[in-house]
Amino acid sequence: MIQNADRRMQIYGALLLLPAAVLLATFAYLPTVATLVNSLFLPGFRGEPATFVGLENYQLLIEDDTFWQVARNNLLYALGTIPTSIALALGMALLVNARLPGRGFVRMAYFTPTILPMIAAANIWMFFYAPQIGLFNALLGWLGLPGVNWLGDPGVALGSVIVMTVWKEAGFFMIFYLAALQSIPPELEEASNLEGTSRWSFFWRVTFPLLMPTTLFVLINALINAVRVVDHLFILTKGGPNNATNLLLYYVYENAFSFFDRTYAATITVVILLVLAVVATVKFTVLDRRTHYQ
Amino acid sequence: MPHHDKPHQDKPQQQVHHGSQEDMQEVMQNDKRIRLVTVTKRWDDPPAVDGISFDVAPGQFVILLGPSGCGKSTTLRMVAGLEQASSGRIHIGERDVTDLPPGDRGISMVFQSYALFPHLSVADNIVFGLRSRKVPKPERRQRLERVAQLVDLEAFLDRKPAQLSGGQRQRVALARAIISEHPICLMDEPLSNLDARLRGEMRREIKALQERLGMTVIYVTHDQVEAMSMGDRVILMQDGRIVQDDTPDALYDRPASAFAASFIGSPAMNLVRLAAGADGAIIEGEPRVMIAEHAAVGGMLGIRPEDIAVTTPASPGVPAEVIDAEYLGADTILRLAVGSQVMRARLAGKPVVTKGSACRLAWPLDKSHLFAADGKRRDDLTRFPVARGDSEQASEGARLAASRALHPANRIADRASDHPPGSPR
Repeated sequence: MIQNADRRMQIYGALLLLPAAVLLATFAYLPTVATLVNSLFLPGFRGEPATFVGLENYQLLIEDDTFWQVARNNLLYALGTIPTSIALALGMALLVNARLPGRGFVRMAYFTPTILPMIAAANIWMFFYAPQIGLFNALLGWLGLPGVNWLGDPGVALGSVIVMTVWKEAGFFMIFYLAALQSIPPELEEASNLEGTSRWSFFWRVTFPLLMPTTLFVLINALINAVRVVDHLFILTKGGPNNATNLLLYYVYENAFSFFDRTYAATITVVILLVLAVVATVKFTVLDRRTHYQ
Repeated sequence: MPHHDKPHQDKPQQQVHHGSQEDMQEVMQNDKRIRLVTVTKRWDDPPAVDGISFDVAPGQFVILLGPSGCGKSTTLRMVAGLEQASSGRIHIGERDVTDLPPGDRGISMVFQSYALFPHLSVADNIVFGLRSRKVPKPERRQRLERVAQLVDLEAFLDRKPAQLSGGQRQRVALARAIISEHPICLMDEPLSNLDARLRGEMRREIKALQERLGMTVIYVTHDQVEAMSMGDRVILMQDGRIVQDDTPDALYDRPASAFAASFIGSPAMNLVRLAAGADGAIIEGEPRVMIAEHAAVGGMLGIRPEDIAVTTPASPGVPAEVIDAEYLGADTILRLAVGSQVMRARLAGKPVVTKGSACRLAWPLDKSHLFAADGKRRDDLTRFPVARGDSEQASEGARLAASRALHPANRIADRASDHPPGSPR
């Protein structure tokens, strides 16, 4: 009787989980497995079935210079955007959390880039970066300096893309930091003020450790965003010049939809997934131990 | 490290600072004095704190008491420097600290929420301020050891605040305040998050600590029990002003206003309206007994429930009728209708009373208080003895007789004498 009731509870629980499980399986797990399987085949031409080739695609990938360049670009892109946007987000959150005239307006201003659709934002930045009439070159010209081809010069283009990403992401991350800051009771700062603790010392000894869960969350998000970039590149550079701004997911897109090499695209995707999984695991195991959750 | 233990044993616990010279002692004594001069805090009208002044002597335990919103916490926060005074001056020792930041005032504070750092261990929480003040590590450890022993936290130093009970968190907050060895400690309703039993325990502990360390304490509370039991002096506040600044017993025995009278005591002092009678002021609706001279009309009469004697209808006193009785264990609170007013009387034990029965009320003359219509105490008005024509002794006799008549034990004894089978007589 008791076992029966127990079983009924289990079925009941399983049924409650079912809708989410079905959706996840259909749209997340199944495609992942399909991608993995795809990466082990070569495409069949003229209606022939795809042939199983084992790890040949991976062999090809290792020998592909463009892939390595794209991977290197993506690493630089991640290193350029993640720390900068997080530091900026924290700085902005601290600023708009303080008593400040026009606080609401400043908060809104910081958050605006996040609300803008990527296409619109990229178009604005196209105007900033345009070689002849662009804002930046106009400013440089006003100072008597020669203009820069922001998106056309292979040495500068990746930097330009990074700057735009930081501009877009910092405001978004700021919201998380702001929420976390507001959950810290003000008495903590009062108690530390009574002991003559400097603001700098209070930040490093209390605020920053208490923000660690947020930092971890933002860090993972920033990492995912860094390998998820397609739309910026589509508008700004199309991965050029000469692959100088080509990033992993855009390279996947190119392979899949420009060169119609689905299986090679699948191979790159699997590699991206593996790298992401490893990095996220390391982050959680290393940082989680030092993180205090309330 | 054995060399850390040695000075700990040599040092008397009483010593609240490490300087040993005489003049140092003098300076420290002076540093314990707090003086507020017409301090006002105004966010908008009316001001939260309205020009209050008081002086706290070194080593005194002063209570700021009042209902919520009376400005007591704001006053404390201004002394701490967490709130800037709109006007007036605050002195600590010889220094005018009105414009000094909190860290330079030489005070520590215990918050209602304890304000413990959730990510730090108990030990790190306690020495947080010492690290801010760059106290060297060996000394930090030594002081931590001493203070942890003092508040009985030695076993919990490695825990996080979330792993502690409310009482233990309270102790950590206390330890953090004590370890700074500041001569002044401010406490903002420190016990209000604890359950009743723990509160009683902590009351005694805080008081004992304060006496042992010779700290000057300003303690904010809305709990009259804390105020009466802990304070050397109680400052009662209402609407940003001081109503009465007195010792606990003076506050109880001679309330300066009807508000003070109603705030202290449980149940609160009876306050009944006085109306004009034939030969003086009467309790509204009860014209037979004159209470005071005519000038008291329109004001209020105050009598504590424990000062009222309930006597038989035959004895002299103010006629009353029992509305109901609330039995509390050690005593019973009777609600009585007197004229158009309701009074409460506290009787010992569990007297046998019937609802609606008539009785008389009497009280010693010096236990009755008169208040003017604006609430101010009036000692200049003549009060009449309620047992009219009788002397104090007579009414005292009546009170004894009555309490015997009403006491259950006496009832049983009476019944026993009616039916004497088991009686030796």
